[in-house]
Amino acid sequence: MTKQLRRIASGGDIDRSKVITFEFNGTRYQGYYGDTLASALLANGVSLTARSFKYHRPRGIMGVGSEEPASFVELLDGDASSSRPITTVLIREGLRAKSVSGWPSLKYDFLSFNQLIKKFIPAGFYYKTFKWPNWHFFEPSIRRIAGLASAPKNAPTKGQYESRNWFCDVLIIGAGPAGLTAALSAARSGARTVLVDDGTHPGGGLLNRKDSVNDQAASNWISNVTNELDSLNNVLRLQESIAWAYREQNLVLVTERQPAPELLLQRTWRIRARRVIIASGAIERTLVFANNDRPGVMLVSAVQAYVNRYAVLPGERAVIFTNNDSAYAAAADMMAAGIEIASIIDSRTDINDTLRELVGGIPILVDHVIVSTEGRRRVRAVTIRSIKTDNARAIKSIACDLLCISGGWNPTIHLYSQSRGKLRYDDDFAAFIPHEAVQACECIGAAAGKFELSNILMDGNEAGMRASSECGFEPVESVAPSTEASASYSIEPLWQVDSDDIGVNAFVDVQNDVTLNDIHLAVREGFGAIEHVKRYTTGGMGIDQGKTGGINIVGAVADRSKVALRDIGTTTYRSPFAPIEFGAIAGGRENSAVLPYRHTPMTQWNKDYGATMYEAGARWRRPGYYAKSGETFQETVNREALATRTNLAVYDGSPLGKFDICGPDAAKLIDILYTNLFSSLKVGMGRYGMMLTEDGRILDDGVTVKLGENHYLMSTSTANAEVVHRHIQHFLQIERPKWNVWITPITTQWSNATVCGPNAREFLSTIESDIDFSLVEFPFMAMREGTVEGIKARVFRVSYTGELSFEINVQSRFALKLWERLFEIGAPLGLTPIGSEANHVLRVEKGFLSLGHEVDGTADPHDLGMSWIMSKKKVDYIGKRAVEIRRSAERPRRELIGLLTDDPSRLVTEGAPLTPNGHMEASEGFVTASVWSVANSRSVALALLINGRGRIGQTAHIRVKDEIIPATITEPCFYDADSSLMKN
Amino acid sequence: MIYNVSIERLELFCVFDLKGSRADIASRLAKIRIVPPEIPNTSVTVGNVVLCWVGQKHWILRAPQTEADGLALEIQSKGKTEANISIVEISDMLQFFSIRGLDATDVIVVCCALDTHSTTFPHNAVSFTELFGTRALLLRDVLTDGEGFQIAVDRSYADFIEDNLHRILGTPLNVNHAGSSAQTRNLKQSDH
Repeated sequence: MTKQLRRIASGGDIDRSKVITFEFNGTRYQGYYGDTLASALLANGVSLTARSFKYHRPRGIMGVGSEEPASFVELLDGDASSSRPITTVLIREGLRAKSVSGWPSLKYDFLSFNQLIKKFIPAGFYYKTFKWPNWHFFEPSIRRIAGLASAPKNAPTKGQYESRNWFCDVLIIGAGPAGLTAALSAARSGARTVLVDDGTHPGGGLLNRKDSVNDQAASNWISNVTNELDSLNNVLRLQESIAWAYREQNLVLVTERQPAPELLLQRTWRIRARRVIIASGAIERTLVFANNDRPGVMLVSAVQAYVNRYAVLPGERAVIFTNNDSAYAAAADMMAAGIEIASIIDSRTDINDTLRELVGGIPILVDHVIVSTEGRRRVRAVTIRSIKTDNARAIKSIACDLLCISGGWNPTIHLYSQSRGKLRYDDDFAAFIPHEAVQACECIGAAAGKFELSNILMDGNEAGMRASSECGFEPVESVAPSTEASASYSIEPLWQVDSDDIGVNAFVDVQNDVTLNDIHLAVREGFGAIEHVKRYTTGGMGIDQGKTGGINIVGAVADRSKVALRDIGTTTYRSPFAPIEFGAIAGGRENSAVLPYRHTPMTQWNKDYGATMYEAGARWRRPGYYAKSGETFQETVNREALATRTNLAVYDGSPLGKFDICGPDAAKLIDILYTNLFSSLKVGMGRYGMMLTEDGRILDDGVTVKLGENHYLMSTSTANAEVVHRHIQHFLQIERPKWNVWITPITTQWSNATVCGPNAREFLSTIESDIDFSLVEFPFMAMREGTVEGIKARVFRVSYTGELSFEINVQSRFALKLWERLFEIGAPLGLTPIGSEANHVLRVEKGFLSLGHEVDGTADPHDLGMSWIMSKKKVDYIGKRAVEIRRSAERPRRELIGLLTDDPSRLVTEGAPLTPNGHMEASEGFVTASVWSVANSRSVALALLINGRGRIGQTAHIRVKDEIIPATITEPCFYDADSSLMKN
Repeated sequence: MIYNVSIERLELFCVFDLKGSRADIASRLAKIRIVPPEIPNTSVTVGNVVLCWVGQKHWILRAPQTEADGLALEIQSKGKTEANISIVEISDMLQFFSIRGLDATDVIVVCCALDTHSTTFPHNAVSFTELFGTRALLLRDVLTDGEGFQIAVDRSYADFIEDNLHRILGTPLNVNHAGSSAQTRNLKQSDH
């Protein structure tokens, strides 16, 4: 095990009393509680932590947070997750991690030969190669080579994810100085306040520097603020929680990485806020020069954080390269910690005296730039030149093992941009800053382009009061915290350092290996718009989303195409802001809970009886068939269908939609909903009806029964019940708001057992009932009320199977009791439960239509041979006009027909096309249903065929894979054509 | 268990779905001495009977099942439908659950996208909302002085809701949708 050679003897926010042992790439190391994997590895002197995505160049750690562009790890064992930024993984005892690329090792990576052929694999080369034989031939190899980890193979063995909903008045994103101040002033007013921060501790940038606030160390001030916030019961404070999406109507998604309950892995909060304050700070950006990606090249602010917060020296002798003021305070901290600063290379001409005094003694070279670095697995020197000289060649080399770079600061405006807020380019800040908000949010502090701490604190205080006031709370007037920190900020943008070899190895996007050359190539090839540049080069498309280099790409495009940055703009920022586990997004929706499911009172009985359950539309679970031991599927279906045709069967029809419709205008409503006339119905009788949409398509069909004067019971198909309900409500609320009629869904108030078969009446006469089931007293389509086995019941004489049928409806609480009683009596008589497969056979034999089969969204009732249902008496009904207009064109239409394959044993695939003579040309129809008919002992099919009714007796041709099947066109009914059996 | 709650599937209630204006509803319910609430999405409770105002002209009346016959007799008209009011029994449609305990709110915010903070969802609040993608009625649990909740879902979703509630607690039920081992549908000739 290596020792922590680079650990400073004291200081830092780590707990030195808790030593932690972890493993990286098979080697064990030690760190302290509070270390990230990055800080612990740096403390152990590890500089090579990754190989790059495309070229497999050696890479180290560049950042300190989620902006990390260079090093990603895969966690193993119980922590298994892939492609985590190395800087965001907290070490724990026994952690095992490995770099996502580099084979067989980081030190000797076989694929580093890609660097030798890099001229042949620039951006976009994928689009111009891998064409023969086809892309998929190469895809597996390319995926293996690409530097990303695999998804974990196993789900976590312990714990679960959770997703919860939350509401608040003011949501503050970021617990840096601005966010803490804003949260305090909002909370003190009484507003429901939520403060979210993704760090392990609150404080933001204050944790990485040595500022003071209110005459005390920043750390003390932070503690005081958080203690006060935690004491207020109107405040929810979430730490180690990343706000990763900003949706419409101020919905912000936040994932808490370490929620309190042990059994929770992560928790996602869906927070709806009246006001959102974005205090997400700013991210330092890199500089673009040749070989700016070597291990040992780090962001200045990251080095400052490792020194101050983690007590780690990332190097011994450093050079700092900058174009702005912020690097100087960091240099002072580094020097105080013991890092030798060889030189500060500043591309600007003028540096104010305050900065010089801050870093007294460190040589500062103004008007200079770094043109390249030297070293392989670690930087060992930089080469610099003066900007002022005409000689573009490097003039000096400075030895170092650490290069700290700062190209300026980008406000973290990702969430703001997701909220559709507008940005503008600020010349003073040389960055895009928030301009016009679209939703109720504002950016404050560094996220708004403010850099001075005193301004940031004041900004936060005012924003908190403003937000709470806008929510109707009286703000508690307070003075903003004060500070003596007076760091100024000025910058002169430097989008690239020109040199002879800059193009090939000057990286604008470190993670995706996108170089300046790639940007120039994209512009040359006509992909000059920034969204095109992004996609053509993949710049900004990595896990880091180009946080440290995105604006450098904009600058490079602006420079090459001679357009101002403000006119280039940025790409669209999309969620998630940082990688989020899929489990955290799904929450608890897994296994049986992914989608809703619905049961009837008989569901368990069906399962216990051996039913195979199907999803039957509208989330209902219904029995498909009840296989007996030794039966094939077809044998089961045949048995069930035959039982219905020859004896006695029962099925659970409970899921059918049901609506209670009453009121003086009830009859008018039903007449306008259906194509046929209902107002002529007598009490106790029902009628089959068809419902159309306004554009004349079939919406639904079903039986509606008249229960009393102005009182009806409508039944609909199972899958369409809710659709029909919405259709009716829409009509009443929009078209007929003055009609006096009430609709109450009662689908599950009543459950039913439908007894069917030629012996149905005989069977029902043996059970206890006060209902007369005789043909005279109970004609087809009648409804009778009474009791069945002592249970109050409504019985309907309707049929979907084509046999004599009685649908016995009882209140759902009694349904199982009735069902079991029917079997108790009926089983010795051969009562057979049937499922939807047998029902399908029976209705096809009868030629009854089914939504989704014959009703395919194009057919109207005339097409289905149901012109009789289109009332000629009614003045109007929904869909009437649309059907007439459509048919007035007299274009050929697909019509419902039956098909008998020449080979009677031949079943065909439902959906198979019918083409002229079986040729491979535009189809003239398709098979809607194909079953083995127990009534005919052969296969039968239904189909929709152009001019079908006029072609009865002719031959149609069904195309299936590798075969053409001829079939005779018939009437679409294969059983009881005059319905005499059904009507009995 | 992750949360300190008890979840119970409640016994069947007597429930009526009422539609009509406040005035007409008030007139009909005067017989049982219930005055409809003044504020939408609130309820009134008289003894064991709760009247919830859940839509512009939509009310839910709930009572113990033992009072079903008496209630029906009082409030339903016999035979003739009335012009201005609809009263339909839906006792079997709604399955009620109670969620009681210190962490009841923690469970509800996982289930439901409604703001149930006491300032926006007080002790007598009631509303239809969405629970795990299904329509549900949510109200405070009167038995625990508002520290718990009751939810009512369509009875067909009851098993699904119970499945989800147990998952929240970290005690998932073993739900098998398929029933017996499913056979693959076989279209070969030899099968018939």
